[in-house]
Amino acid sequence: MLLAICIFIFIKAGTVKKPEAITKFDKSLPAVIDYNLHVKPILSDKCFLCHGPDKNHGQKAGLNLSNSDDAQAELKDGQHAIVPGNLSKSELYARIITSDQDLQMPTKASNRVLTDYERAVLTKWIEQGAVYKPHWAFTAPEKKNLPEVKDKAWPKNGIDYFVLNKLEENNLKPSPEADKETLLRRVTLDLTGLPPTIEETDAFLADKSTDAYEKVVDKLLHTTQYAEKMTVDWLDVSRYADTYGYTVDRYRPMWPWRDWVIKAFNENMPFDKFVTWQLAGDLLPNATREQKLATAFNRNHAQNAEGGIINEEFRNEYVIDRTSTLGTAFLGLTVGCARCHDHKFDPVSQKDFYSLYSFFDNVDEPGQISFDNSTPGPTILMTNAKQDSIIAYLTNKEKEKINEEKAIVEKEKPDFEKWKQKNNNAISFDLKKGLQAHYTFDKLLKDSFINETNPKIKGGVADPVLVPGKFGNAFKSNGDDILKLGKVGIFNRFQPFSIGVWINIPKDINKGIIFHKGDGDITYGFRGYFLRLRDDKVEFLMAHTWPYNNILKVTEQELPKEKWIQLTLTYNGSGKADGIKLFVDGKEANMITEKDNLFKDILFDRKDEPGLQVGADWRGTGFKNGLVDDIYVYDRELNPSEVPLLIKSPLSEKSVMPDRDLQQYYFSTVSNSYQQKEKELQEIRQQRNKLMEDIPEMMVMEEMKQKRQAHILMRGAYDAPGAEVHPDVPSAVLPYPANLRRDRLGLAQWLMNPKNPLTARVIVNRYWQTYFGTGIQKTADNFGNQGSVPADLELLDWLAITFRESRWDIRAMQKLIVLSATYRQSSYASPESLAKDPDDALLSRGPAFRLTAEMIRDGALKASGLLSDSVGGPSVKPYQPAGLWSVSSDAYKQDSGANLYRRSMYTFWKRTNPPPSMGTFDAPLRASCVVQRQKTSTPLQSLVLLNDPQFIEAAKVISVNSLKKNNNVDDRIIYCYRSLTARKPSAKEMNVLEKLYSSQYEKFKKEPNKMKGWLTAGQYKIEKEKDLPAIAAGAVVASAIMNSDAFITKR
Amino acid sequence: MNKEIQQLIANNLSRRSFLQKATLGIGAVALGSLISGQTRSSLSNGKTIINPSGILGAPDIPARTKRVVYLFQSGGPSQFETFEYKPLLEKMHGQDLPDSVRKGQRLTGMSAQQSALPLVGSSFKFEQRGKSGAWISELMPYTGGVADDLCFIKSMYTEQINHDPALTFMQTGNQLPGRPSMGSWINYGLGSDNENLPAFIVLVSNNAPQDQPLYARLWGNGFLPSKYQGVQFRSGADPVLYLTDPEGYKAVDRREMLDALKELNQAQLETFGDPEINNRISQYEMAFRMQASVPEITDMSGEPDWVFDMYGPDSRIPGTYAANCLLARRLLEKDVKFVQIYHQGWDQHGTLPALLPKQCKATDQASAALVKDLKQRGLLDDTLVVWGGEFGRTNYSQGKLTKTDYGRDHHPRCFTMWMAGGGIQPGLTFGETDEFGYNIVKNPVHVHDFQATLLYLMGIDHEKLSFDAEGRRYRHTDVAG
Repeated sequence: MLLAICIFIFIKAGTVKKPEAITKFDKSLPAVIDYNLHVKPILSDKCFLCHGPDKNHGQKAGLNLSNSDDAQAELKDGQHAIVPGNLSKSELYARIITSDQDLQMPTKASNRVLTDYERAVLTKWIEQGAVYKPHWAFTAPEKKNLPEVKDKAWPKNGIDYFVLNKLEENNLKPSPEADKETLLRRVTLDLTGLPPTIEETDAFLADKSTDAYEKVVDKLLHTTQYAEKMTVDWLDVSRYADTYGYTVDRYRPMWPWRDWVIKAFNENMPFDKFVTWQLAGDLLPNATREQKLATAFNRNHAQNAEGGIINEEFRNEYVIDRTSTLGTAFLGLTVGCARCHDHKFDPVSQKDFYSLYSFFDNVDEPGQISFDNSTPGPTILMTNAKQDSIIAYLTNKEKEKINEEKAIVEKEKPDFEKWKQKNNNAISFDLKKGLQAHYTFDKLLKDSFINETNPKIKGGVADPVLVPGKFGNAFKSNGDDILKLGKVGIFNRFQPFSIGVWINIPKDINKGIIFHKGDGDITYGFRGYFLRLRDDKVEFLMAHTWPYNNILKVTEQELPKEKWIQLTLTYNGSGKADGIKLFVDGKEANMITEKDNLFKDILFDRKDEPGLQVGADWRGTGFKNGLVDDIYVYDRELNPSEVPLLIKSPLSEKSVMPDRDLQQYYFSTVSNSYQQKEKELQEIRQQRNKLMEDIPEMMVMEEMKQKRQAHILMRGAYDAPGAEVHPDVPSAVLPYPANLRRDRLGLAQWLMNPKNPLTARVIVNRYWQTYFGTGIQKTADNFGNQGSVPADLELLDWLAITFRESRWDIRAMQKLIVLSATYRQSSYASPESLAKDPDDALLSRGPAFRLTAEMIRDGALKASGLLSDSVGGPSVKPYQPAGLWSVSSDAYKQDSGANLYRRSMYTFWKRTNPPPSMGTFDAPLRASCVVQRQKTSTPLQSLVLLNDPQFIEAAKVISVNSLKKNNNVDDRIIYCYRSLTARKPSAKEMNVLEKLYSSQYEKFKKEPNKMKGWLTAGQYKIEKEKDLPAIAAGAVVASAIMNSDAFITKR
Repeated sequence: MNKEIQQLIANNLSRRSFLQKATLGIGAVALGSLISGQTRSSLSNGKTIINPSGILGAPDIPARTKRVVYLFQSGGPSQFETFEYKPLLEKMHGQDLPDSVRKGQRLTGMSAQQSALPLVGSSFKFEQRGKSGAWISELMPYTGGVADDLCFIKSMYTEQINHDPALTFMQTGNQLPGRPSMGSWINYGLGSDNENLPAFIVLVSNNAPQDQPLYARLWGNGFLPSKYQGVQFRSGADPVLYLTDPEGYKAVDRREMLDALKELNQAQLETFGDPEINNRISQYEMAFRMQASVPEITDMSGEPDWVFDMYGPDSRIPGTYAANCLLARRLLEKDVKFVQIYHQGWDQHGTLPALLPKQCKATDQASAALVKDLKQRGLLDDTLVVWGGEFGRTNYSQGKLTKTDYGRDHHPRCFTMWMAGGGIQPGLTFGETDEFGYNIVKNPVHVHDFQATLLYLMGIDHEKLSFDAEGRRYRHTDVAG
């Protein structure tokens, strides 16, 4: 009772006189104002920017209107924005109603002014109690019973009950089923991306059985062309391209991943598996190569090789790209908006974003990709079966040889003992043996340093500076100019070598390159090896490319400053970290192995192979004011006991040695059988090295063992890390279940969790969009607050749950949609239907829209019989006007033969200059994940269809084919028309085309020069004795059809 | 934006101070809504706009200019050898850049590791030109000749330090690919004044080094409908891709074919009742008109000798920068709204004294001629000419400084552009850098300020021209995120 009184008082107090601008809508407003349907679209678009979920910048005056508690909370000045049921106490009402520009909300300057209708909606909503509801898309879908319909005969499956129910509510009737020709064309295009042939159309027309349509659908769904069509859509989502993008837009082979996608659709891989493999195939137990290959999905983003960029800046962009792609592709959320700040409209905080980001951050990849053509890690080797067997054979052989060496050591032990005693534990080393170079830096000869072992090889540097050194003079580096020692120190990854050097480190540096064999700084994807100071320690890198494919070791000890020290590096040619030793003043240094993952060569294998360089590297940090003296380069691994000999000068040659070193010496120098084995081992390794160089690599995902710690990045900037974050998801969508692993595999399972409100909805909505042009939820890329409200949420949910309950059967879902009566309707738009359902939002008629870029070209090729039916493989280069690539100093090398006629999904996609006709027909840039294409109509499209040689050639070939099969002109025209549009022309259309044909025919007969272009376009050659004017006139007719709505549009 | 830049801006009136000072007689900036809510929402979700006249009604900022020609000098021209006279650098030639000037600011990865950053003065002489007394180097003699028509902005700055992001930032307002370019925004906002030509036309020099690369997306429509993309005119037989009919097939023949096509489409319209078919028919008509108008406008053989002489000998060779400038004038005469010219090769990391004169020689005369030519035809008053690149270059040498040679690295903190015509104050120098030419000391102009100014001169409030994509409103001068 008391409560009732209170409420009464409340209402009483809330009575205010509303302006006419609002009351005029009293009758037209919905009886019950629904938060999701009516209110939130207004609040989100007009208010949330300043009073929404972004707690850092988007809650001016401390007000957040995005949830009930905050909206009703007391504000700083004691007011309340919303008091349910009480307009006079609701500041929000006062602010939207006032004409005082200083008080009015939203402010005029915001360009988000409310309309009177919107004011009326908000007003009535407050009067009705201002009830907030959770965002529809964040509540798990519910499968409701099929709605009741009056016309029980119409529905063919569940979809139709929902659609018909809405139509009946709106006093509309569904359209009749499309005629068979139209329907066959529609479904064939939708399921395979290609039009039906005349034979297929005839067969369908002839099949009078009741399930004729279903039989065709089943047949289409089991073609490879179906798998290709499904792949085309997935390429947009995956931002697939054949080049790296950005400035240095080189080729990169990602097509094996595309082949995998085709295969997955061909095998009807369930959607959950399809996604799990792509997000986390590498994390599956005993992951197969195929499962790893699938993860290339996450590496399809562009990568930058531009000189001068900051590695971390772009590595960060790649992680952000993966995160945003996950958001758009599977969640239908613009999570990328939370990169710099909390999301302005959706409950995705900046912390949420970087928590998602951290799933994708733990990858050992470069931000600046290599200048040479090595594939940025992590990678897998794309071997074929033959290569696999050779590698297995060689690896086995290598093991065998190593075991045989061990056996020799055992067997010859007595010989060794005898030899040892004979030599009194000491031997004379031949320090000249294998000495490739020795530079003393004592003097300059014509501005050059001389290699003492081979005076023909010289070392040079700009402005050389000599100062007193350890012995005689030393070279003083200015840290910028590189001292090049000529063609010395050039070894591949299985060649043993040793390098000794004296250095004196100045007081004020703690990093800088001592020597290197490579092209420049580490960020340019370093290949070769280097020795450099890092935080006063010494690191040695031997790399195919950085940071993935290499060996990296660093000393535990720090080096002293302003003191001569001798460093000797020895390497046994094993390709492994434990084969590398560093000696400081003759004593082996303890080293930490930071990486031991070298599996390709360290040479560039090019004519101008760089040799050993000292003191500085291109664009790297040099050994500024450091002194360098006596460098020795050996093409063999020095014995540990031999190393100290390098310290003394002149070189002494006898040394008492520990057993281990004696043994190494004995077997590598004295034992013939061991040396023979070693030679055989070398040969096998060299064979393996050579083979490996020819094996392409593929970028994939792989977790780093040492986990990279992710942070919130303030303002999204790579160099402004904030608080630490750990793998997690936006809890407003679905909190991360405790039993899931905190990695990409767990993330994939979270996506497929039955309670996840988004994934299934987002996917079925996109499927719907491919057939009907727009999704049930119109903004397929945004299910958040700024997205549209689904036209029929119950239908969307029914589809989503049906999909999930089918165990994510992709093919079955396509079939369900195309078998519906809804899909089969005629697309004819009567004036009445146009008036009542202008955008076909209620689905009162069938879908009709312009074909995609791929369908248009592929359709013309198919109609002409030119289309190649080969599937998969590397991308191809069909006709393209010359010179388009020259702005990026590249040349387009056009293919010939069947490669000119492959499906458009195989056309080479250069990110900076994509195939021009594709973009003209609204194919996206492939710069980021795109789930919705535009469908525009422009004059440039007309020019492509009129004059692109691909289309003229197709028209010509259609004409030639029409002549082969038919004698009279009418039959020829019908043939052209049917092959392009899959239907027979009407009498009127026949009339137009006959007239066109005869006028063109007469013209070409009279003036044969006018038909030249029609006959010569493209690679296809016409036999000489043919009736050329008839072919050319037929080509004009085919071209006219190809340019007409009957071809361009799916009806 | 970093703090230091914020500070610089805070010291000034507002971002629009640039507009008020550098443009002619603009009083209070009118900020009325240009786009009604209704219009805006009807544009959302990527719907095609059939109205060819652009989405803005009559602008309520008075338009100062009707057309723009943007002479984009791609690669980052050195300000120090062209328009930025810094005698101190000559005095301190070879000395290290003082830390007090650099203040630890970011360098590119190309010179960040250099152990010395030796200052380098211009190896080319400067003199004061015109009544305005602008200091201009001997490499730009012709530009010097029109100095009094130009407004130099010495205080441009960008947030991007590498080519790809900086170019993309300059052209689209964002450093990552995917946003519409400036010409596309203007096309979207204002539509076309010529029914026979695209509103946004792109010309790329064929006589420039192709380093650094250009990308088609620089004149792309981004998320705007593709009808707003820039159309590249190329020299040679096919000035627009696929413009030329099959060999031997003449316009009269094409007309016959298109008449039949129109009848086919009308038959289809009767059958399906889809209004989109009407749109398609009109696109074919526009294509046909372009087939006539484009070859006509790109055929410059009718230009008198004195015009070619004014633009320089290159102007007789199609596709050169000079020929493109002349072609631009012809396009502007036909009221093409936005002509974007690109000339690559301004990226002198090394060998600058030998390479830069070539760049200037290929462009100087024609750039100046375009200004002169527009002026004498009375077009300069409502045509805006813009000259500039994506960033500036360092005052220190990248790589070895020798007696005859040096290079300059990228420098985003200040660079020079010039503008002329269309509401711009002639003979003015706006903004100022310190004696080292390293930091801005007066009137900084951020890339977004520049873009806002350009839109403003066209009668567009940059905060009002927006497009719904990815769940939010985007504008050309978008703030990040």
